[in-house]
Amino acid sequence: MPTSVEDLINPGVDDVIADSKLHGNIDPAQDQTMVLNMGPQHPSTHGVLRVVLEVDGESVVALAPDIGYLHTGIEKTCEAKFYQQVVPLTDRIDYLCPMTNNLTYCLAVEKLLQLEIPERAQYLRVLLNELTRLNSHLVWLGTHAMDIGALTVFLYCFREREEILRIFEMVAGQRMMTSYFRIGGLSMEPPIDFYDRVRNFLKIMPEKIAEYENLLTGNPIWMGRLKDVGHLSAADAIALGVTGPPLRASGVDWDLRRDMPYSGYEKFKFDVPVSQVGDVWARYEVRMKEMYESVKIATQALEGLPDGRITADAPKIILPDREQMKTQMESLIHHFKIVTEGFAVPAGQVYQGVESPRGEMGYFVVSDGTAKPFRVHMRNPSFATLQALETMCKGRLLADVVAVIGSIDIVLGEIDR
Amino acid sequence: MLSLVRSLWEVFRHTFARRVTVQYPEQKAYLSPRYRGRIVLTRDPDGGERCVACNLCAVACPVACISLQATEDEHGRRYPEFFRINFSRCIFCGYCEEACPTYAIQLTPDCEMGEYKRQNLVYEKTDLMIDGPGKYPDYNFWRVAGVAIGGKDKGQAENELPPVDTHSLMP
Repeated sequence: MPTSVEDLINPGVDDVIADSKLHGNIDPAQDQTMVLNMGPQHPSTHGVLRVVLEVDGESVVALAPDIGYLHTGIEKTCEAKFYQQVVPLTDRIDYLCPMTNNLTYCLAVEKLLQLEIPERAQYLRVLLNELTRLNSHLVWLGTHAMDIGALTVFLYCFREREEILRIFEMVAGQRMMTSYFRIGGLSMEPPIDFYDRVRNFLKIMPEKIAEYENLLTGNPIWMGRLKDVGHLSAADAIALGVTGPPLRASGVDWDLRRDMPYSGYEKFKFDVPVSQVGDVWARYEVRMKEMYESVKIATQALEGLPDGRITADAPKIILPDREQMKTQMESLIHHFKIVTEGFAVPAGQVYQGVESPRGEMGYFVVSDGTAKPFRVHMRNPSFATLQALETMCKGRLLADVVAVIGSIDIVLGEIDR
Repeated sequence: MLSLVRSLWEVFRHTFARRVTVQYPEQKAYLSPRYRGRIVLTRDPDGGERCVACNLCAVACPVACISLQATEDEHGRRYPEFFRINFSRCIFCGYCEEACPTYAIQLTPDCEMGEYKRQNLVYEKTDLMIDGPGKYPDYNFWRVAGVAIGGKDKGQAENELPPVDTHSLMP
């Protein structure tokens, strides 16, 4: 019988089950707890997360998440691709924020290449990233509320998410696997009606967020399920490497957009919502406030959008302009060289962290001076936050585990990659 | 209590709101012109094949789902002998379109590609080729390229000067 957390984790969760009461040989007098399997097909585990729980009646004694069901080998696959070919792979790590992953990877490689990105491209990147954050938070809110039992919110959230996805489709050509950012800029200029559409969307969005809050914030069932559930102290959060909204909900005022600005975030004015409570409710509040802030940043980026190029001035890295290619031999040669041979990135290693909707998304890229990355490692916010699951759930009721999993907003594609 | 009334009012209000659901098979959703869907091979305005079998799309493809074999016709015009895209591998990233120097390969706003047999997702040239020029109605690579093909000699392309006679002293 597993008696402690170490017993649950160290021998591997499957050994725990093999040793446990499922296979008998336990003195019935000692038999107080039960090992319970939750997932990987459980609807509230947001994908294919398996949680092995040891429960005493309805309260959780110990808990161990089991990951790996969604392993895709993306990190390894990156090593066989040219630098520019990795961009479509980064979409597929976190299906809720493809633009953030595109951005993080591009920023990391641009750091190695020491590329200067034009301001227009930076602003568009910020704009699209904030829309991505809204998109991701809408899915989080919808599914979190659905887990607790409020289905209506889910439908309303997906209505607005649809509009964001339409905008992505319009600008990048696809709703989820956008692959819109390129190393050195953007793949193409946004279409003309993009700006009006985004402006209209940002105008209506705050009242839509108020609509969701109307349905949830004062609701006694919602409050009862969320308040004083899943506490995470600031010290624990820092020790476990938790980042993003769960960290800020625990009272740590840390946001990479403000504290380690990238892609021109230092030019935007926004508040970082922080709560001192550290329970599921605090995480809900922080994310809801963050959505208003995202609308603010996106509006600033749209209104202050400067003119100019959308790609850096680097003819050996960025594909040349199509019109130039038709008349200039050099452009055509560069085009053929870049597509067939890629571009060599100076040897070195670089880490770039970005505030993704879930926390600190980081790419660690090692280059050996060739056109293919030697190693690409992703630092995933969900992976670290999932470790805090046990701290948050221990001693609580089984039903609270669902609320906590919803509140940490995990994406399994990101954890297993 | 008040919040419950507010929630009820919110839901009640929505019963009269405009429907956002699209009744899909009967009613098609709008796809933007940039939508990256089914890949096609286009023809130039004269009706000839645009593809010059340069293999750039096959190299640019991150999942290596394009294969083709170059050949030449009797006029010296290059074209692919076969052109095969395995759509069960394709991730619709649009890199092939970006790489194509002659606008031959293009992604279209069509996502309805379901098949009962996986083998049917391997599209041959006859499945990919369309009869029009796609997104770029005016571009004709062979009219602007300097290479000599049947019916068009060196120096006869658009915006091209006749070749310089290197054996003559005349300017």
